[in-house]
Amino acid sequence: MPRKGRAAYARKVKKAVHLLFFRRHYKPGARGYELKKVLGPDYLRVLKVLDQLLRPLDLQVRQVFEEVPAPGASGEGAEARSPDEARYYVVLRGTLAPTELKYCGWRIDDIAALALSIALLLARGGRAPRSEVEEILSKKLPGWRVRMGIDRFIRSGYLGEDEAGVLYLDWRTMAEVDLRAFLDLLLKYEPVLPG
Amino acid sequence: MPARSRRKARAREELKDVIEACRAVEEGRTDPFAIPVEKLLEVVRDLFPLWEEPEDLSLDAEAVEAISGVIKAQSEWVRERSTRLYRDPFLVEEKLLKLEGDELAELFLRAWHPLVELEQLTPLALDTALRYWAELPERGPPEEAVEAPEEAIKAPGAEVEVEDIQEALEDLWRELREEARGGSVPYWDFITADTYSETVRRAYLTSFLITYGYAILGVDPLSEELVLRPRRRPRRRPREKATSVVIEVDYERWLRHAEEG
Repeated sequence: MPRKGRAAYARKVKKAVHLLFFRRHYKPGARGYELKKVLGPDYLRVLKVLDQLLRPLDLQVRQVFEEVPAPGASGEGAEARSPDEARYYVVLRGTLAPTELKYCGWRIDDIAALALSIALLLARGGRAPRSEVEEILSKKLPGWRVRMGIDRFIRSGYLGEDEAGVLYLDWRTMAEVDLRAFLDLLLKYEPVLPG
Repeated sequence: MPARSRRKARAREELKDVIEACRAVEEGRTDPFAIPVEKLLEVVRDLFPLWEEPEDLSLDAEAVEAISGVIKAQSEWVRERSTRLYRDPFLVEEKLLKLEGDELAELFLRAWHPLVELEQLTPLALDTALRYWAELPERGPPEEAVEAPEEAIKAPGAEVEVEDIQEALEDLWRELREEARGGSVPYWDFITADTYSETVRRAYLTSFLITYGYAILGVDPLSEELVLRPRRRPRRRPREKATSVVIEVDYERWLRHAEEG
């Protein structure tokens, strides 16, 4: 690549960092068409360069199509859609160890409740009445903690709740959780029996 | 009651039952394939000749829409099972109940890639804030508290008893349902009255209709106007996400609407 071209890319990568890291709207990250407007039509190449630069830091640029999950919708048919419609985020490339959770302000109980809620909604085809999710969570956690937990997941954007009190998976789950990997891990897991 | 009216009343109940059953699917309370779609369509078709009033026709349309919702849910069900994400719900739920909290959390952590985001002030934001602050007009010395004259408070219609509010709300809700006829009414058309004070009173009561779940305030996607949609039954869910909308009922706007109306 000529020197001038490299300099232009470096400038665009910096702009992409500003757009993706700093929260400007209700949701973090940036939409494809926003990036296109600022970085130009080759914004996907710029994001690819940024992704390579982020690799050593254990971060990556993630493309998420925002359709709220009709059951099984995650990833399916995404190839056919325009990248401009997607939202782009910077996420952790690897994963967190349980001991690192406290740095993020999560207790292991909270994560277990979130995992259970997400898995349950996936099993029910993406939507389930809040009362049913609460009932199942109550088998493992005290009632007040269940209600507080679900409210927190809704506030953070992991779950959504419609007017009829039905929960669904919201934008943050789609951005952060590899749903297929999670379900596979869940189904393959064999609890260690005592003795 | 003549036999025809009785038949109509029964038929309306039947339609409402059809809508209720279909809504249960939409809300995820019922399996979409538990609903006999063809049979319901037959019921709606058989009842159709009875309808003459716009309210009944609107109920009929609502029933057809609800049934189409079930068909949509059925097609989603089929699509879901043909995707790579589908797993047997029974297996998943059984597994979930067998797992201890920490085991589940550990599994989740292996599929969780949290977002990285920064919320902090930038030089640009500081500069904008500084300019805003510099342009803010001074408020001047604090004013002495001014009490409203007693006559203004006791103006006719200004005092509303608690039970009157409930009654006024019910009346307004009834009026809204009649005007909406199963659909929606532009917000400004609904609140605008012959006088400005009555318009303000209607806007005030309408805000309670929305807060107490008697009606939904939305935006018409075509005209981008605020619209009111009455609910069939009031719904109050304290846990649902609520948004506050400030609507200024200013005199000029009222005058414009009153003249247009």
